[in-house]
Amino acid sequence: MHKVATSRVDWSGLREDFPILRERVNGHPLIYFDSAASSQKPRAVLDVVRNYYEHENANVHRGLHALSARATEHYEKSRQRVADFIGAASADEIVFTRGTTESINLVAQAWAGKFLRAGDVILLTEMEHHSNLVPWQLLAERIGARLRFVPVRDDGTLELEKLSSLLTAEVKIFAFTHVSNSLGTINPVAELCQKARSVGAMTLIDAAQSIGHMPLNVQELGCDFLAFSGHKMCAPTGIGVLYGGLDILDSVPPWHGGGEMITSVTLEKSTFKKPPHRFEAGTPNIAGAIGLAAAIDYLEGIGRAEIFKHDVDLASYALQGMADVAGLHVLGPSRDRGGVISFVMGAAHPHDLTTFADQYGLALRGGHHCNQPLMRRFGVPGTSRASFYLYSTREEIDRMVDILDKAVRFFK
Amino acid sequence: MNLELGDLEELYQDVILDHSRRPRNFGELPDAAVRVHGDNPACGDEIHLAVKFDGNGGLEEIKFTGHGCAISQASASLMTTKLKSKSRDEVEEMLRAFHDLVTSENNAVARGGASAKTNRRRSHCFD
Repeated sequence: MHKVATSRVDWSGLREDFPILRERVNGHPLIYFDSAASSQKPRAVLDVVRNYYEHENANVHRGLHALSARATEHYEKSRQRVADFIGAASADEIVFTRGTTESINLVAQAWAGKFLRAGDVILLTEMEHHSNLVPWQLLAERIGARLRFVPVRDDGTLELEKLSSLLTAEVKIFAFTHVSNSLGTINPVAELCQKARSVGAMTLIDAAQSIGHMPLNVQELGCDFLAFSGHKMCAPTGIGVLYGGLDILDSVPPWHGGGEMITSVTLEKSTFKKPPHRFEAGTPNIAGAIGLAAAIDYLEGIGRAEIFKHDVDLASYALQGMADVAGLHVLGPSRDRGGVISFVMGAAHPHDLTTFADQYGLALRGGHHCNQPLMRRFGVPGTSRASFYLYSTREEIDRMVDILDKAVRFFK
Repeated sequence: MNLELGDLEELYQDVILDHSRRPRNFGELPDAAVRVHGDNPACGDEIHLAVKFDGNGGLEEIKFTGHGCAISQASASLMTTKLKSKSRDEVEEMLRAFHDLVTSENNAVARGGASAKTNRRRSHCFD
């Protein structure tokens, strides 16, 4: 039978850290296999957010009173915690945003809006989430830039041999995902950054699916920008990060105007703070940032290398089990993949299968996963997707395979 | 029969599964008078409808092609069987009745059965 991976982590024990995993859905214990859409939150994060609202809540960077000082200190300490987590040289390289989408829009509108000209090329890949595609389409339309795409092979990996002909001197930025949210493909991001640098192109990594799942260091990767969300890594929704090298961020003009991001304002004109505060107009998501730091503490307590091994183990275990389900076809690579498995079933449309699974308490995602061009590339209207995280277990995968077998019989 | 299978069977009644596996009036209608395309951007369901009228404005022939979940395709199939060979007045009356059914707060779908929640989540599939 399957070899059980040895690990120093008590994986089933840590499920106790996640209160929501005790939920029952339609009379069955919840099997939450939709962590690629949003992860569940451990009690440690929920407690920190609650504690903030009960003992520290005030606005940051303006009040002279004690609570405002506490909130400011905690908020800025959280920024430092994020910088350490991703290996940034300074906390000033960490801009708090609402999430990955806002981070990428900031780069596309403020940085690229200033530095790109008509005819310049933005290089993307065919596997980008809409959040790393639509912001660039909007910019290209506005300034007359051109989009170019690295194709995806049938096995769900990037056609890297095409890179030399695509990555020309006209390319000003190469923006790509670290881990595909629908195929699970892990891209060789350090190599992509190095190749982009050799032609003088900037790089942006969409780390939404990787940040909470594997070790990651921006200086080792050599990227110029990196974007991610808190809610896929055990933190609350509504908080995210844009990392940018300090010199680069300093060259970017303000994006949103308002309070918090200015040094002085007259009726005619304003001057602006240095990064990162230049890009944080208005009252930020203070509780979210504090919750993000707590999520980082939680993940580092387990270890991202351990979490990655756990993901990979679950993915390969699931692939073995799903191979025996009649008419089930898995998309994406057979190796070097994260804990995300997209599949189609001859007998059942993804939405029918998702509804069926939900009746057994199994949360799958069904649809295009904000990847419509990629779905078209593979000739499917959508897929069903199971995505795992640190609280997912082999027993849950066994139950999923059983439910999929039932679905085959029901829809045949 | 266990409870959850009961819920599923209420949503996926035999008639739905039958029509999704063997859709009626599925195919092209080369000499169609009117062609209509409907899609649901949220889930990618697509229906292409083609109709031909008789001398009095009644529906002489109706065919569809498309793809999507069982409920969307079975709904299209069922609709074609109900509308085919109906007069214009009959078609308009059926349209009104169906519209009332799926939009009314107190309709049978919203009230009926343990799978009401599921049905509401999936109402866009047959709407």
